[in-house]
Amino acid sequence: MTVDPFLAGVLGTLALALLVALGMRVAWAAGIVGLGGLVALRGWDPALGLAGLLTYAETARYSLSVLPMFILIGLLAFHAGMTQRAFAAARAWTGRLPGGLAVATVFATAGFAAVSGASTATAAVFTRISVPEMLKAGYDPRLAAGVVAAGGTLASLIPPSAILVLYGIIVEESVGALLLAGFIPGVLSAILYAGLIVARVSLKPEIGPSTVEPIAFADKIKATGRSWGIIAVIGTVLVGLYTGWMTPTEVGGVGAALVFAMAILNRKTPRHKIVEAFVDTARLTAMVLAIVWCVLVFVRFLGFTGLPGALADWIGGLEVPRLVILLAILATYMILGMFLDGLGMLLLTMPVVYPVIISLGYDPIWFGILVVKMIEIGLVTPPIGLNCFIVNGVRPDIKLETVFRGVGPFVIMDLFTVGILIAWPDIVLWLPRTMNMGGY
Amino acid sequence: MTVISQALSATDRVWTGVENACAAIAAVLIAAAMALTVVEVISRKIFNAPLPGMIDMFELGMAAIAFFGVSQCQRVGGHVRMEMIVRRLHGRLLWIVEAAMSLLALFFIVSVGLASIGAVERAYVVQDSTMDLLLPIWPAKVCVSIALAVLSVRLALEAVDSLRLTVLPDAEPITAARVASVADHAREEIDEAFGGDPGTLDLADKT
Repeated sequence: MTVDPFLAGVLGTLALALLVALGMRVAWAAGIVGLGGLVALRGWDPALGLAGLLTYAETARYSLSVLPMFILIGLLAFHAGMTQRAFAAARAWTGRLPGGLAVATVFATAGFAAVSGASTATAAVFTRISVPEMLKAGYDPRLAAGVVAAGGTLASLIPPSAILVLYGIIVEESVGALLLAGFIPGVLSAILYAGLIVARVSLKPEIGPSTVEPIAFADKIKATGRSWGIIAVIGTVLVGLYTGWMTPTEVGGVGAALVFAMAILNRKTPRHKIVEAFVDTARLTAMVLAIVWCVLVFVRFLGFTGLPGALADWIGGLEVPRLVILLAILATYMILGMFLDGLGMLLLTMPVVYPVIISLGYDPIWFGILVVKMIEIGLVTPPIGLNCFIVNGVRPDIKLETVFRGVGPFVIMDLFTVGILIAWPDIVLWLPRTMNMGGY
Repeated sequence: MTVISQALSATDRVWTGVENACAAIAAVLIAAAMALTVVEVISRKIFNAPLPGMIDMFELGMAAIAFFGVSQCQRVGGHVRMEMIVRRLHGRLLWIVEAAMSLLALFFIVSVGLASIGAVERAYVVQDSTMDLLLPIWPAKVCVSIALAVLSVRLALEAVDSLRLTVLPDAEPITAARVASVADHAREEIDEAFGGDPGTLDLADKT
């Protein structure tokens, strides 16, 4: 029996979509369809041989060892006593601005989310730290809840970012360049959030009354000094990569050791929590890498079908401006991000989407930043919008609907940010281009 | 049926121990990797003496780090999946779907696991080794096979329990996959973030 490879590719893709929709774990769904497809096209023995080879070949790589390190940084960060200090430091600087507490929340969540890499957990923690303070000052609950839910989404762009590492691994681009590329767009997002708050509160002062007393400059410096942990971790990653002194794994390892030391020194942290962070890292690493090697089984199958190339040729041949295609792809990611976990979605779709982006002549590093931004937006939009559920979960007195409505303006701001990054790609590409690291 | 559920519970208890032990090995390796990178950076940058064979050691270690947590992750429902549709299924239909998904996953993992044993044999026979320190590769490949074997048993436990529940849809799930609502999922994330502090957590199911 001969199977038409192209037809097999189409059927395989549909089968994968069906299995994922029916709730099969994304990794195993990609693996079984990939294996089935390889068996159909190449026969049982070669297919199994290839799949068996990939398990080891695609995981036992030095370049992947950055992942457990970044995950470890994130899990230890919760025990390092960073969150309160980050908020105190941000408030010292921005507290007097219109909506100052909300602006402080943006920068504190951006900093902590960057280090922890966890959007949802950041939203949970700051709902407890900064929402009570904002409500006490008389802030509109919509603004208070919205800023916390939206602030968590800044996790994925500012380094260290595990999702950018995964994008780099799956499309075989420089992980160092990607991590650096995320920094300026991440900071820009935070600044635009802050600008949005200042503008809204200036127009309607009653939604964010200012209650913060003036703070002396020396005290501002002192408060900033106390949040050195976050600055040290982000700084290690940026400087280590930018100068080329360290590999991504090494910045991860050194960053993790820093946060580990902070957690040990933090007397409030129970010792067993630190041990648990290492076990949780093992579990999360296995989860992420299971998707990686299983998706790569599927990718080998797709490679034999010629489907990704054909799709890229077809889209490349369309009589439509490439910008329209790009916007359509980004919109699809935002919609998918509303239903499916960002990580799984990215890994599942990138093997097909990446060749299209390359054939359109777009820069893959720049595209990676845009996609990650779109996926993050899905974390705060209905119907799932996990971050909003989190805020409502920690503060049941703030209705879910209130949180979703509060997030609305920030989503619009995010789309505006994506527009800026599309119009001026240099905002993304400037930092990786100037870095002292070969390859990109 | 009570025999089956008792057997499931007993196997689950033993296997949870096996999975936790595997995850602990990976955790120790991760801690070692963290320490090694610090030593390497200090040694290279300050004493200008890079450690030999760092890449070799990381490559071998990554196989275990990547795989030894995989079954524990399956047990706690940590592997990514889309729950939009299964969340709407109830009773027998839900368990038929879950059983089918678990059996397919089991078939895949057993196939790959058997193939990985072949890869161990080949690596042993040809004395495959790393580039720099010439360390043998087969022990790292054995880790992959072991982890996949442990995962196979976990998937079998899931499948058997799902099949049991298709017959008795009203029974309590023992080892079958659990479906969480978005609010439940949010609650888990919150517990995670606060280390299970029960103080202010009072989540009503919103879905």
